[in-house]
Amino acid sequence: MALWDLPNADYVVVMGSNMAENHPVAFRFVVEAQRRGGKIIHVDPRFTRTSAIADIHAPIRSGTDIAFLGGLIRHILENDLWFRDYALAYTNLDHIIDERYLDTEDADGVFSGYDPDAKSYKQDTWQYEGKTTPTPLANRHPAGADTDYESMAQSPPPRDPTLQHPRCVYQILKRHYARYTPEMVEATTGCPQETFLQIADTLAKNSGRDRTGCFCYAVGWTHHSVGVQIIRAATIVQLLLGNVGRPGGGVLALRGHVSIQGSTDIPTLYNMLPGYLAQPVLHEDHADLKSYLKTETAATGWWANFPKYAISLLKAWYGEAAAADNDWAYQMVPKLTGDVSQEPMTLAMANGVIKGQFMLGQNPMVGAVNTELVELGMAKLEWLVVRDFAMTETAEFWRNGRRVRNGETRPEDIETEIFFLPAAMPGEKEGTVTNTSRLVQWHDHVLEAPGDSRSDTWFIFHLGKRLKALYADSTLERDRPIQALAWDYPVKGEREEPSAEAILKEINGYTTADRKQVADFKALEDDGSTACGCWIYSGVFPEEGKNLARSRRPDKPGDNTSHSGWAFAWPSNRRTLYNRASADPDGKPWSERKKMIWWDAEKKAWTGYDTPDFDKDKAPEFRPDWSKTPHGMDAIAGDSPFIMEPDGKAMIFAASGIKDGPLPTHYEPVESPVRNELYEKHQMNPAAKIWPRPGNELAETGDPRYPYVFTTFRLTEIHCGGIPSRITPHTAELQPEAFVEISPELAAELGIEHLGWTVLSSPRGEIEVRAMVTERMRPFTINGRKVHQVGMPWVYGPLGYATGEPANVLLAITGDPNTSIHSTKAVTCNIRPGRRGIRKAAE
Amino acid sequence: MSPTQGPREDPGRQALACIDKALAAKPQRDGHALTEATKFACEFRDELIAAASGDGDEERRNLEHANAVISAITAVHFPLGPAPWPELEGARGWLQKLLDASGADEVSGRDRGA
Repeated sequence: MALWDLPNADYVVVMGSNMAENHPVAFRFVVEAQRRGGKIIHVDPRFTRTSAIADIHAPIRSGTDIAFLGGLIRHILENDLWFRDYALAYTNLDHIIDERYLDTEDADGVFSGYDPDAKSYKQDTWQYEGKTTPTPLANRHPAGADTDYESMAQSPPPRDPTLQHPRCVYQILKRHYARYTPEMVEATTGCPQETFLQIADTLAKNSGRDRTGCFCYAVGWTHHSVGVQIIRAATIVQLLLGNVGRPGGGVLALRGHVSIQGSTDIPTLYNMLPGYLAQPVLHEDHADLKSYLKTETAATGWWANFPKYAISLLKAWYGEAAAADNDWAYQMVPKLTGDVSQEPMTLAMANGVIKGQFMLGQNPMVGAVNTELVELGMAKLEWLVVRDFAMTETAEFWRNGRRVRNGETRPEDIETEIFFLPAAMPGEKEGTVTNTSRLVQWHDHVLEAPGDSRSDTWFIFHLGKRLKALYADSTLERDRPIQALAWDYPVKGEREEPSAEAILKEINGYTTADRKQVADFKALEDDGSTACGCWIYSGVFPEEGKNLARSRRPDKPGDNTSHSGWAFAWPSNRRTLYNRASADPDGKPWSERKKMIWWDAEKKAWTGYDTPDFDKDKAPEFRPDWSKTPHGMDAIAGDSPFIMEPDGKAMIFAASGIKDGPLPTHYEPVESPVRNELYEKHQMNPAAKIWPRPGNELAETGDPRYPYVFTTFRLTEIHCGGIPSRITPHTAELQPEAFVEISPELAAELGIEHLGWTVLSSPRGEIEVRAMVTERMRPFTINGRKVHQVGMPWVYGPLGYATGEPANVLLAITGDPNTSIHSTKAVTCNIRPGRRGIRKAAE
Repeated sequence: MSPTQGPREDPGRQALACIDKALAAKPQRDGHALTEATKFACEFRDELIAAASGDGDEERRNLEHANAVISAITAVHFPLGPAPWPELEGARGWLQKLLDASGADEVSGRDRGA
């Protein structure tokens, strides 16, 4: 959903985010929702400025979000509070699941398909009966299932609209969450039942034909070993209540600063190509283009267009070198052999695998978990290139690192050669940023960067040119991708700055014969006649001289529209995804108050306040002709809004795509002071990525040496990884020193004074910071036992005016099974008053 | 042997022994053996680089194979899905050939899985 749609919400649940402090610009839309009568709910372990504005604050122990959200799901189902007309029509609630499926409730805490040796799942038993269901996510092939997506084109999945079938999703859901009672929620999360029930009732009362609400989350949800499943749990709540694809409804990911959304759309992620296409994996079914397209192309739904997007991307990258007779240069694309995300690669770096590293827009000596292992890894590099606009802890690790400060090593013993290259700041370069609302916004170059500072675009472009020159005469096959790379962007000025508009034009896509811009992704083909750098952005530059990212036409106050003239939102300038769901199955608005898109029977077209996220002229009564084995959108009925799913129905039960189970389940975090009362045999997510090694050990459950829950957070005053604010006196003085927040109760128990020194420790290391004794932190009662939690901002390091030890020293390298994202929000620690003994640095 | 400090003798053979230990534990992933195998294989690669004269197809091929061995070990250590055990078994063969070519002794069957 779009940020400016938030004021249309009748409730806003902020959970996994301190939105007022960390997304202050976005939070004004929440304030506006409240001004219009919406209820604001903050679910968070700490009482923050977000809590202070909220109508209800629900404190929960870090890492228990699924218990809370699962409680909401149960409450909605048991009390029949769900929006039946919406959920029955638009989700897979009535779909029947494979008879071999076993739920965690029947299999001691794991779903069917679990392999305890591999610690991963096969997904064949989670499928719709008789079907293989590709996922809308990259890497569509469900593990362990065959790739017969054609089964989806032969008939619709078996369904029971009466919801009586014991294997229909509704019945499975009811059984799965039966134990998530208000009592269980309180015992697990620490949130009082009364508060939980008040929230459940607020959500139910404010949902339906005439009312909608939304969830806003940030890394307080993603940075867990069950991060993806937490988001799924909220999505299930919203689908049951009919709050997806409608005005004021949705699950809003609050993306980071500045272009985190853009960096997943055109990804810096290791496992995706631009536009959420799968990065080929060597050991799966991606050995050649034919098998890659077979496993990644859904038979039904929008993703049937996958080959058009993949081949157009190859044409954009390799130009003339990509031809039909060489499979469009597919073999020039690197193939993954394993998980090469940041977490395992930090470990691999410490093992000596990696010789050199570029660091752009990141300061891992502060921002990455397990700081000591990160530093150890960087010390194994032969070379390190850091580009930033100010010196960072990462570039200075060789003389100012923790191991140096602790006397464990000396600068002269670190052989890494480090190159620090000054980077241009935002006003010193042109380009786009993509924000939380998928809004691609252009910004101009307004002044020249000083000295040798250059934009990242300049650096990458000229690095590429030099590499191409170096390999120009090579006759080795392995160097062909560098030689073949299409790398001709016009440059301007003495500095030869590449044109960012030319890059955006390539991202938009063009016809290869005459290099004319394509209007949008519907014009892309799989025969080499089009090239496109990122299909979802297609339409941002639809014709020569028309850069829609530059557009700045806001709607007038009071207009019930979508600000469609303000920049460009992918895809196709749609502001609300799946907005077909804003109309009922017959195509009529659910209510006048919640109108967005509706079917105009006279014009035989969808119309409304937003660009329809549906075939524009597909009537609500359209039904696939199964006798013709329909493919693509021909297999999507006119009353099935979720077009990226293979049957147009939202997956409450994830038959494919989620690596750790089809339904969210409460497990304790990777470290916890308490046992998992739900599943004795599975304390933590059984599919979580755990990499034990010296220096990366996890504390045992209930380890008396680490009795407290530890969480990390950001500060309004210290931006990003800290450096931009800590080196600036005006902002540094606002939060001048690292601190740990602890409750008055714990402070009294341990003899810690406000502003006194404390030492925090975990199996990974220890740090010292001053105490902030505050009622923002309160102890929880978990299963009758008092559990204390402490929290610390992670944005400090030794450089700048505002300094302190990095909180991430305490954290372990672990990963969510789906994303490999680390756990920064819920581990365990100890805290004691005093200071840690630091060895004198070696002379 | 603890590969924590400085270059050790016969890192290639040590890597081979660690790969065998990891293979013996299959289908369970022995993280410690894989970590050690990676470290030794990287040291072996460093030896190849240090000994290289800078030209010649064989040197380049050997280095590519050493890199492939490291990729296979890390692929099993950090898999995307099921661990690719056959690739690690194949990598063991490449490493053995590299060692044979450089005159190192075959790891005895008795040492395997030690």
